[in-house]
Amino acid sequence: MKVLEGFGLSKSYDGEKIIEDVSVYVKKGEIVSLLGVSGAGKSTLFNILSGLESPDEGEVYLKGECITGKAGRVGYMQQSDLLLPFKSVRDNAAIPLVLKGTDRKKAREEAERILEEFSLKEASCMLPGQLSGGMRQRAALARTFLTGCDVLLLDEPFSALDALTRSEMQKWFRNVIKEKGASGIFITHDVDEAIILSDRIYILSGDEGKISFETEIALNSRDVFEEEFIKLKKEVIEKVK
Amino acid sequence: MKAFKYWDKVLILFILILWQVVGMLGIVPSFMLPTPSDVIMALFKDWRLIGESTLISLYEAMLGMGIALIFSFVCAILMDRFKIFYNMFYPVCVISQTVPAIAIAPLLVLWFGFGITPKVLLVFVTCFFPLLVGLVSGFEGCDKNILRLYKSMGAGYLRTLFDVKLPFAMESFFAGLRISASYAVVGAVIAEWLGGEGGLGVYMTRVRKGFQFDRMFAAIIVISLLSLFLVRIVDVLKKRVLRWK
Repeated sequence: MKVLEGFGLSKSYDGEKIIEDVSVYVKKGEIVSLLGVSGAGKSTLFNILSGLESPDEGEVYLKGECITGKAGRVGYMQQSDLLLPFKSVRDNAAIPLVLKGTDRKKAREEAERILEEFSLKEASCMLPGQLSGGMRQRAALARTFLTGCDVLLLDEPFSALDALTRSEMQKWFRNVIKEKGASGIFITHDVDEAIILSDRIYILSGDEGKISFETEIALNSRDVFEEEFIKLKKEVIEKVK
Repeated sequence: MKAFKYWDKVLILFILILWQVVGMLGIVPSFMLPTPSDVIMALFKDWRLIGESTLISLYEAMLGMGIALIFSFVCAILMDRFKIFYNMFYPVCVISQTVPAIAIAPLLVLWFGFGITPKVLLVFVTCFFPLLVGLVSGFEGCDKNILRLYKSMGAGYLRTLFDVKLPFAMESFFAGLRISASYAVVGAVIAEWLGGEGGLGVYMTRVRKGFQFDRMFAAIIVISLLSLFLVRIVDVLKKRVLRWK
């Protein structure tokens, strides 16, 4: 079942077409990557899917309901963790609940619960500045989950992390999404990351602002050194170019 | 070995000693330049009057600053919320700063008499602008991505203001508050020079007429100590509020 679907989306800025007639979707429990060179319009597409901007043409549907131009309906996580430095990790995670009018004490309890799930129990009363990059990103993801939306848009969530933390986070992230039965679309520049994480890949071509390629990823193993992984990687890199 | 870090104090001490010696040797006559010891003596002799005057000036300074604080918050929030308000008032505020406070002080006295009003108003005029600029630039400097995140989570303006904008603006607000605190007492004293019933400015004009320059210096010292004290309070407050920094 398609949970989030953007249909025939187009957007221009100052007369310049950024994306044109783009249609993407994500099914329940699925992780989809959006690959493309810089300036291909990935972030524009995300802003439209998240409702932060309205498209010139096209509609966005969340579980059958039209949410074009309506913010706050899907979880949105950006490149940097964007944790408020003056709030504790727990209070940061609880922000979406508080914004929805949940009582502060209840929101904190709920945040504590999810932080424990994300192995951040000890860090819950610390300030974000006291945490490592990976922990901060996990806390940001906890906050995104607490938006209550089970569809997540992630804009290069791991790009600021070092290679080791990053690879750990990718595995962890895939497990969390699958366990929770959530769905995610995420932007990345990194072909490896796209193949490791996702069930399907879209490639957004920079010249035309259209989806130029789409493929399911049906690998037995997501080990980067396996032959089938390398073969698929080559194929995808060809298409991105 | 730790580097010696008290050079500023050494310099001040040196100047004081030099000043004392110059006075004692009679190089400059004492009625023109009283020695530091004369000034301290005057401070002790006249402490009751100086103390009372200090309280009056401090009260005016605090009142003016308090009003400036309230106004600056209200104006900064309005300017942040409504672009038209910003476009209308911000340039006017900037231009108004080219008018020196000393120049408008006599007008304020002319319009509002010798009571407390012109003093408080002058303090307000001098304190308002640094506070406003601090807040407005603090709001403008807010992380745009965090604002987007808040928007994406469906937050309204007030929520974003209290959760994000105000906390992030605190650093530059405190920079403005520091400047205001150092202007406040001086503003009150300048207005008092032009007439009034009490305060350090009135005290200064009185002793000047009596050629009691030791007392004049005593008042100057109190004014500068008072300003330093206020700045210090701001620093302590800043440290507390910006503990996360």
